[in-house]
Amino acid sequence: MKLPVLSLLVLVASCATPGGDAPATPAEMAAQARTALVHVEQPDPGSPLLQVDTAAIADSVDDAKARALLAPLLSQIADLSLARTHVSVASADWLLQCQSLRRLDVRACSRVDDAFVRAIVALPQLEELILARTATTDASIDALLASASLKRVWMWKSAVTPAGLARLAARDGLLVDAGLRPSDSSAEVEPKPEFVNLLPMPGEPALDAALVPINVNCPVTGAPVDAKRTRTVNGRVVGFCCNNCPKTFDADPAKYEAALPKP
Amino acid sequence: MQPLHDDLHRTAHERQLDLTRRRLFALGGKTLAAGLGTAALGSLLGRQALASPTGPERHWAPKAKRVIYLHMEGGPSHLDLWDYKPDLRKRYNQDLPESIRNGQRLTTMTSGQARFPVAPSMFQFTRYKNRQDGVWISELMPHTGSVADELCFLHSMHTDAINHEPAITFCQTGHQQPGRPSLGAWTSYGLGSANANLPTFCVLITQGIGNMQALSARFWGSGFLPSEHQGCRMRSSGDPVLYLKDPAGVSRSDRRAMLDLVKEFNAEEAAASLDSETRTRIAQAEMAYRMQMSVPELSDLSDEDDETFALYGEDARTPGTFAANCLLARRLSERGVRFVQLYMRGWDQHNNLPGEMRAQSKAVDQAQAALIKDLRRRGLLDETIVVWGGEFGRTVYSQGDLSETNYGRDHHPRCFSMWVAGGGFQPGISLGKTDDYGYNIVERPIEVHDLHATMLHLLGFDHEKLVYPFQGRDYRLTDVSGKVVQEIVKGSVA
Repeated sequence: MKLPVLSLLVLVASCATPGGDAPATPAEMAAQARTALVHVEQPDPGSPLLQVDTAAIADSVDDAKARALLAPLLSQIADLSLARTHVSVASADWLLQCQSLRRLDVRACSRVDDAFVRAIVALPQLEELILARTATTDASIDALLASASLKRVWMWKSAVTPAGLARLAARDGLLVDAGLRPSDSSAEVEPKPEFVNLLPMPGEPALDAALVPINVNCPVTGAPVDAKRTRTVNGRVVGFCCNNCPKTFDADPAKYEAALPKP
Repeated sequence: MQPLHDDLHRTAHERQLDLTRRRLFALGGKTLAAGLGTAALGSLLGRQALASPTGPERHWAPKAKRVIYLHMEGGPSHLDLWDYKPDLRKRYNQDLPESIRNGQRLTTMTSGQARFPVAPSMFQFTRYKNRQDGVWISELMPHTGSVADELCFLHSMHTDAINHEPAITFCQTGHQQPGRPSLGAWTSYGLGSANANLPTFCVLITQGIGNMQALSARFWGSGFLPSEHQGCRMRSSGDPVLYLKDPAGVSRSDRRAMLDLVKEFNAEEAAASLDSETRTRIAQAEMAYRMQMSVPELSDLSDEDDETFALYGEDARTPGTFAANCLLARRLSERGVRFVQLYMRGWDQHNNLPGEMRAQSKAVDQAQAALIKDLRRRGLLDETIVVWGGEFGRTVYSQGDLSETNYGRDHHPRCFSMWVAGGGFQPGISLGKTDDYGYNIVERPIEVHDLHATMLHLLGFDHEKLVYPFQGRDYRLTDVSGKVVQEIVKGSVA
């Protein structure tokens, strides 16, 4: 695996030097980056801008390699993910050539720090910046606030303090995501469900409240009450599951009374 | 500036045409009648024109880059999870009115029942804040409730199929009969790979409890699309991907040398036979070689901290659980894998629904909420579509005996609930309504094709134009149906 990538790097690096055998078309430049397993795509058919992602080779990407791989494409990149790579502030100079860059993902890049942030906020079109799990601290806040284009920033597991987050979030038009969730998201809890058979069937008149049984389950079998099989027992309406149960009930009322709800 | 994709696409395409034409005429002169040669040329060109390495061109700028589809195999009860019908508690054990059932077909598992007694959900519901006036969710899904502001509930899904096999096939391929490419395969075909070291489409399966249906590999098959687009199933025990490891005694350099030699043979074969599957075979062997390094790194969770396991639940430490698969889905997504298909088996509660659903829900609730939170804080949720749902819903009437604490429910295709999140879907809203019995749809019906059309829309494709020629005509995921559900697309005016 190492050898083909390295030889390709030499190829890409030589292409990047002015005056050399530079690739003629954007397609060829992209094809070269692809051969090095960098994902290059033109997501919007109406725009030449590119989305680039180094996820496949993230662990092997450092400042020099990123520069070598991406140099021919810089002016066209609008969406760049360098997540989980080893890039640092040393990449800021070539990143600043990405004048169309709108979204930059440096998530989980442990070498991305305040110096990196202070440098790249100069990108004129940068709207989304993912700094989750980076080494950025409160020293980045002023730089982030100074960017006129920035709309969203992700700060989860960075070293920015709650006070720093609050300063950021106070800026109008800037959404800050630090992985925090509202502590209580429930608005209302319904009462414990109780089962009754009270509503009339659709299209039928309302049940006479006086005939509604006091029990949900048959005192004899425990099966659900059939609303049509009710009778009065000591002034209460008791429901049964079938025609046979009232007879059983009458044979030993004391035994089955216990299964009825207490008044 | 020259549009990149166009140029690249055409170059590759033209190169293929050129090769094909030359080869075929050479062959045709020797062995084939001219008429047969022309016919074969036509079919080959149709296939190869679209099978270019970069895939078809997008139709517009996409909102989403990838998909995580959480399929709940068996058909979870919408009435006990998402579709809140408090008034049914006052109709306990009443007969389901004929005006509601209206002669609709039932499965043979309940069509012979003497009665269809209404079984209200025994579970308590809570209203969770979202971006509307809240959404009612059952006590079985408290963690999911806590991320309700990120979810878009579809309460009016419906499907054509009433049994698992055709219903899952329909959900996964857009057609009830087997053989069509799956949603993941279409996505892979449309988007291509974003990480050349991993499959574009991965499949993860979790065993549930209770009644489970067979999951056939064709649910994640590529149908008539080139076979590189089929899902790669990752196993939970032993090697995640079978036959990836070199056998004992074979070094990586030996493997490389062997692959290089085989590649030469295959390349000759591809040039002679013009079979695009041979080219796929070469590509897949190379992919497998790279996966020998990338898959162990992917499935090694040692770089995940305790906070992650607290978030997903301790189950995430046990391979194959839904929690572990959600965590793996996040790891695949952050590495650029386009389509991760999770299956949670065992939602087919014909009997003993309350007990089984408690266990099933406990297995998924925390992990799926964690997935949403985790994608969100890593900046991935906005560009990742998350889909949750089964192949159909369940009946409001009880299958078998009904009591306050136990009941069963049969299959119900007429309505069910799903939720979607991220990837350009409107967060924190609900769409569609069912009637008082949760039996029929009364507002904004959404069919499975509509969901597929909307997903393709967010991925940058017009579902009517993303086609593949097969058997003399163009096929598409949504067949002859499907309308984009504009109400749930962020930034669109419904």
